Amino acid sequence: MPFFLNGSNPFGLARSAKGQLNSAKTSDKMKVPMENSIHLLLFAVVQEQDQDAAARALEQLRLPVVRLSSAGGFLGRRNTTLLVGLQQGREEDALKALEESCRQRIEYLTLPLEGSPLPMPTPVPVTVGGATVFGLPVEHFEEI
Amino acid sequence: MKMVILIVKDHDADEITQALTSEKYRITRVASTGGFLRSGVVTFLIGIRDERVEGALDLIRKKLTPLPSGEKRATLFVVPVERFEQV
Repeated sequence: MPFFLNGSNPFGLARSAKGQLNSAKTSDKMKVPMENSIHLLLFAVVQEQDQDAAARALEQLRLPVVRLSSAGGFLGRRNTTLLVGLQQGREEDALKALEESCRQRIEYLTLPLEGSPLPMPTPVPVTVGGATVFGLPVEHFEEI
Repeated sequence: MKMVILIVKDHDADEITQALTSEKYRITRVASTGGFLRSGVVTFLIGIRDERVEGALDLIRKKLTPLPSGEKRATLFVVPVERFEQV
């Protein structure tokens, strides 16, 4: 989920991303690691306003990026899913680039106040953002 | 079960779609832009039973013959799928 309600889990990104990477590493040990081959595919869901910075940061690390436009489930806001193939040992670089380019920000949503006889919109702070990163083990990588 | 994530250029997408669907591979096309090939690209998500993966890759290799320029025409990843369901 790219969105966190106010006060919940500001460190979700780092934890979930690390968990994914660790599990990919352990499964990789069972196979013979191939030199220079792509072993992990990252799906990074980033906010629309961060997508250029994130893609640029990854491209500067010589990591090619494919962008898919997508939408979030909670606010229904447009976002971008970046696909990045990673070689062994590049995970931390890629995550650092994403952490630096995708910031969490507090935005105010106006919702009608519940139980009020008149529609009185009240601004509610919502923590939006960061990035949500999934790492999938790649069994086979090929360029044709 | 595997998922093949295949990234090709716009102008190759229709031929690949035709080829895969006529061999009864089920595909999802996602319009995208990319740095892999630096232009309009199409990402295919293809769920395939293990024993049919090689067949699909062969079909893709056959359709995307090398260009004289040596430029890459497609990038593909095969990732394992823990669970697949069609509902």
